[in-house]
Amino acid sequence: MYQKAYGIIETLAPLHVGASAGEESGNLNLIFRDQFTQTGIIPGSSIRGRFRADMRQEKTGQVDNWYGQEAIPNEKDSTTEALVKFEYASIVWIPVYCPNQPVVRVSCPALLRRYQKITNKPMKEFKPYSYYGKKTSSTLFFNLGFLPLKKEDKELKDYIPEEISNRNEYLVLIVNDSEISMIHDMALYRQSRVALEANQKKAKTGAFFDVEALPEGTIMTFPLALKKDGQDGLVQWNKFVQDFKISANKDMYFGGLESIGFGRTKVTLHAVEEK
Amino acid sequence: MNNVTYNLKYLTIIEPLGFLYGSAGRFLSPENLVGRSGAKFPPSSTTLSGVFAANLNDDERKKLCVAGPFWGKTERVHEEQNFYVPTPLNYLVKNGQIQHKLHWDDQKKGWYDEEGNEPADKFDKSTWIPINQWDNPTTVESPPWRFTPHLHPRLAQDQRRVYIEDEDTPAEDKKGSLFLENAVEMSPDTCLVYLSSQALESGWYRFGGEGHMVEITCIELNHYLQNLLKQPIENQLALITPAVWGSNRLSYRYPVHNQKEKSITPTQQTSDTEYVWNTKTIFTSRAHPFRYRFGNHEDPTRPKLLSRGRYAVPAGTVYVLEDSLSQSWLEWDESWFPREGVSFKRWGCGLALPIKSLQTSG
Repeated sequence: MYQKAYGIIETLAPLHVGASAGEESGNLNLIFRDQFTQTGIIPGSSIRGRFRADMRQEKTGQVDNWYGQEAIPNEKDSTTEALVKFEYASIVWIPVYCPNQPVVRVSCPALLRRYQKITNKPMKEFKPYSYYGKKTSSTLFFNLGFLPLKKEDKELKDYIPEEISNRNEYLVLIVNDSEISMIHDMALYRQSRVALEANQKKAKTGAFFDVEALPEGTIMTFPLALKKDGQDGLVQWNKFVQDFKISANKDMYFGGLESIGFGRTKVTLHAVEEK
Repeated sequence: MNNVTYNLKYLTIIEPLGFLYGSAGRFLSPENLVGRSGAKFPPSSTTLSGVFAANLNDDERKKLCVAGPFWGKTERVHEEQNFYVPTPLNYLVKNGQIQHKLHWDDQKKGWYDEEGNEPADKFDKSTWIPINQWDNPTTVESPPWRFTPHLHPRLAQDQRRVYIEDEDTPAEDKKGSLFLENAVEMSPDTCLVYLSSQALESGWYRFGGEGHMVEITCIELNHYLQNLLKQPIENQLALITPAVWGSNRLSYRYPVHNQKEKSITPTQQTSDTEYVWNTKTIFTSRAHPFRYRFGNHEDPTRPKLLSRGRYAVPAGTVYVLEDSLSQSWLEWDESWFPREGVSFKRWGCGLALPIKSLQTSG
């Protein structure tokens, strides 16, 4: 049995966590996607690596305790198990531009159910085309056509994490599991990147590619589990928070292209309240 | 022989919180990352047995019995305890439909369909049928998981790029920088299902490799499933879990009487009396490797030795016997199962359900 906790990530800049090298299509660098909903994710190992590196920079000397001791060559049994485990972060709400709204936060039942499970919120049925928040008309116009808003669902308010900025400013909307990938792809931030030769106006070899990234204002969630008892007694959630030096929230960087301002996020951690 | 009464009372439901670990099999090496013929998912019952063993005391552990793997649609499993088991191999599936149900013909010594033909076609492999239609399956499902291999590059400690080794790298840091994990993602709203004799406290557990986390809940079996497991098996049965038969060393396709280990070499044909069942025929496919490792209670950081590598008859295998067994799997004699420390019955080996004789008159 593990102690349950979870994290909420709000992107403050475009976020590009790439699919594995070799999976680019042409020179478009894709983001890592979930296989079923085809929406962006941050693999657990990327989150773990960033958390671990940040803790290392804090120089508390607790890194090996929390993340496990690496093997020492020619020494038997030198490894220890990590006390903290991460799984991938999936989208809870993705902001989509929409004329005269101007932003709608969109999600689908599969993504919201994962959020519900991780955070231990009460079971709820998520109906496609139900919405919550201010609307200007009863149909929305996305690039792909008109989308009729059906029923207002006030309970959706509880599924917008409390710590995010402009929490109640935008309409939130649920679409079908089969439609989210199309809307998600429409919402992605895309950029062509090129480096020119030093002395003539042409692209350097290999330095011309397109990149896609999750837009700023994307809300994601990931589970985080803590062993109940470690090598030296009980593992305390508060101690982890303390060693990690995260008070209310923390700015963290994930993924690539940090040098051009990608990847800045605000992360908050919560222990799950057991019912 | 200390005969333990094995029982299966609970449905253990495993919902992944993220990815799961899927073994890519034996043919994977740094030079060859594409051979997938040995890919293995879902984890066998021994994997779950380890989770139980770590959370039970000694007495409870002795009575432990786990069988699987199966999978289900989470809502359906919780509501009506309906989950999916491997399709018996004599049901030929194409395009998600059962096209033919073959039966064994005693006179012609062969498997024939309803019209007495031998279908010559390609049929789907690894399909699953719902357990609540066991007696007369009509729907067929394909597995709801996808392999998602991805790289975990090792980054340099002081800069954000892959750690690059050169001549100056100290020997202890030469570990390679790219690690490929063969992860599996299950479709949302599906879960893995196992049968077990005990229940675990609901919560988050580590399950399988790479430290992946799952949520485990246990519910008591309903009457339908209890009765199905107690149904006596007459002379036709289908395995719903892989079965290791044989002595402590050699794997067979049929249960053998486990006496004291005799030195049987495979070339020495043993007489038929060694076999427990008098088998008319068996409908099977390629054997699967079956191997496990016990955990170590004294020192959890140091695992015990790997068990002997065995071969298992795959789930879905159909046996036609001369004589009726008149016993359900739960009542089968423990001496039919190999033992290595514990009886293989503990891993739900060869969990079988009766299938109706499909023989048409004439």
